[in-house]
Amino acid sequence: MEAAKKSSNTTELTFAVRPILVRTISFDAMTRRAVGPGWKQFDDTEQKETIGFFTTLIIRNYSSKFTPGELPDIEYKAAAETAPGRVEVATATLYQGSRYEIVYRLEQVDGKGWRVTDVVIEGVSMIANYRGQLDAQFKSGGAGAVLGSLKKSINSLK
Amino acid sequence: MTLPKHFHSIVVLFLGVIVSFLAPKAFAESSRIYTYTTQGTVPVDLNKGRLPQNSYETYYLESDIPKPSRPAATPKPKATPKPKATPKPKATPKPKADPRQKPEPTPQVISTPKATTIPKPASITVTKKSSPSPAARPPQSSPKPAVPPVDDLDEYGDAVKVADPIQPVNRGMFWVNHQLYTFIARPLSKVYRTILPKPVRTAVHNVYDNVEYPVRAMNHLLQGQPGRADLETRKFLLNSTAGVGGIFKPSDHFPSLAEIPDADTGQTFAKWGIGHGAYVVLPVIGPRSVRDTVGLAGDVALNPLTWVPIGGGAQAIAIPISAPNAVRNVDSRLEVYDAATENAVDPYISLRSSYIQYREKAASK
Repeated sequence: MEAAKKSSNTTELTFAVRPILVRTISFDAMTRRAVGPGWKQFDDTEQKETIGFFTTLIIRNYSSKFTPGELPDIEYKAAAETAPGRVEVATATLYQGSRYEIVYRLEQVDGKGWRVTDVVIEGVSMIANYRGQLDAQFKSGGAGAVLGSLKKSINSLK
Repeated sequence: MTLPKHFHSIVVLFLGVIVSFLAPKAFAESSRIYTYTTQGTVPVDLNKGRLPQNSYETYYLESDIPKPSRPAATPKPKATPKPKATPKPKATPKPKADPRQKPEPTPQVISTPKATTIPKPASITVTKKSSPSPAARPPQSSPKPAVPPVDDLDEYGDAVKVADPIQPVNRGMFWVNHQLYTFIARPLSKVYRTILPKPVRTAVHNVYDNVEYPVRAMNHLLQGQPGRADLETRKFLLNSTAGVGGIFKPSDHFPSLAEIPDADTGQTFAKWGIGHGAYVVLPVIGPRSVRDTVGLAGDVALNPLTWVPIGGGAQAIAIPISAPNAVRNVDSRLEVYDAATENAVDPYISLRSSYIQYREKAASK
């Protein structure tokens, strides 16, 4: 919240929230699931590179939903255990006069405690959304196509 | 020393009575018991150590709940242990078996979204009531534990599926719409936002949203939700009166009125079991499925703003009434479009995926 208050534009906000999000979100799990079964065919270097690009994209995506300086009013609802080691925390978020239903999916990540692995805004899962896109890229050209599309997407945002 | 003739029978009877009295209590107090609901695995509130009465739920010991494993390969269904016939001691006038300790029913096999199969916990130890058995119940009421294995790479594989047989045409229309949004809608939206400050835009939105009350109320009724239709009516009356014709939304101060799910005709079709059909991209309007396109016609018919010409009003009246609503719709459509496409790898797929997920969620409310 402090980071959001201090930022004067979206780029600043993206940089300010990055260290916070890295501590609370499992970008590894997000990237693996967004790519899908094809992940096993990525070598170590490709995997690391993909996680790096995808992390940048997710942080930009998440940051773009907020206007710097304007804070949401969040009402947290009871967490529901969907499976052992997994919970969903539903929230009713009032932001800029509109009410949104945002669900945070969390998991126990080895040695790191609870980490967010997906954010579902008004029923739209961020990871399911990228899964459809990256899967199509993988099917068309393997790991190279996935990396290329992520790079292109990040560069187009600059 | 000779034992009485029926000494063994008496001992067995005595032990049986003790076990039948003590076992459930000890079991209930020393173990945590869970049941599966749509919310996942939840602990059961025991009433003085006893399970809820008149319940058809199946209960599990904490130790029987599957633990996450890594890597999460699809677990193979275990061999179904057949309920063993309980051997009755000969000539023993039985301690009557506790119904909660009956042999487990045949474990059900549930389908995960990716169509793999996961067996239910094999050692179901506590089951209330023998009939109807969980396996015999209809799928809607049977417990469906969402137990996807952790780190399953294909977890989102079937999350967003819709037929897109005319994708080349749709992509073409997506491109046309992108040009329309960029060169017409966006400048229009900019002017709208410049002329009208945020509070005024909110008021405009509120007024038209309030007028569209019949769309929501009628569809709640068609979905078999008279309670929601009633709440919707109360909200309409409150906002129309205390909210000065819908400019303000005093209903937001009442959680029951603020959180009524939206309802439209496409959603009603979904509740009736009609699938999406093919995905289509309509000119200007954008993403839709065939089902929701037909539903759109129902929404237009139920929208009072479209009644003005039909009711004898001149077009000269209809245009100024409808024009701000059209601009409002363009503005909000742009917001949704931008949210779905701005950070996308493939904006077309991203918008399609967002639309289908959003509609699935709406239909599930």
